[in-house]
Amino acid sequence: MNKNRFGSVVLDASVVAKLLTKEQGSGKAAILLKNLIKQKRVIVEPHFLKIEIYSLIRKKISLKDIHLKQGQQALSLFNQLAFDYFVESNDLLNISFSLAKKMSQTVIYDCLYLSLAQTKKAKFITADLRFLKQARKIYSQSFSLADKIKF
Amino acid sequence: MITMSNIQVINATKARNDFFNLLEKSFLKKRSFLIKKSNIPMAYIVPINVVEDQKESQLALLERVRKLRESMTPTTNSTSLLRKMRRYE
Repeated sequence: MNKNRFGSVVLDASVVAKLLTKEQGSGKAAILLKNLIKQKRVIVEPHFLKIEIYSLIRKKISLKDIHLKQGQQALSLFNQLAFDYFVESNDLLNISFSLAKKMSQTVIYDCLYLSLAQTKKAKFITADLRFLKQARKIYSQSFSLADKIKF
Repeated sequence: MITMSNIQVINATKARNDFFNLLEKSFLKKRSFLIKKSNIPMAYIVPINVVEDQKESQLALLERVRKLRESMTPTTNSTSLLRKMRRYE
């Protein structure tokens, strides 16, 4: 049995957002998701992803980037994506807090995704290259949308 | 899609003792099981077709997302918006 077949992935909100709205990098995010689904990867996410995506769609509507109906459709489709959500436990929050300190981050939002990836021994994928640069120093299984990811 | 209404919850000891029976029920009768240890959900046993069906439905979902994206004009970069929302900038 190929044990890598069961490798899981944590996607930062920056990747999921690119899938849902048209912007630079949307194509790469779509290809990534398609490959992950075809390979039957488990996509693990903190519940916080929902708050970020809902906020982001609201923001894009308020910026008049997208219409209200498009935003509602995006959220409806987002809710049907088969992500395995984890509620942020005290342990996970504490790990995120420690990572944020190590990485000199003033907030823990990004570290929440990174700590979940670390805890689940999953690959962490983000579109935020500034965060990625630091994340790689802490967790080698951190990737960008442009990386070729081997499982 | 797997829903809690069609999943039988069983504890890990029973799952261990009854494993081949559960495997057969899953394969032949298309039953799904959630295995708990110390009341913590640990694993599922689900029919193989559930996984295959989910893959197909998720790929179809991605196609609907693609069509929605195509209906949009290019939007603000989400990475920079998220950085602002996360109070980095």
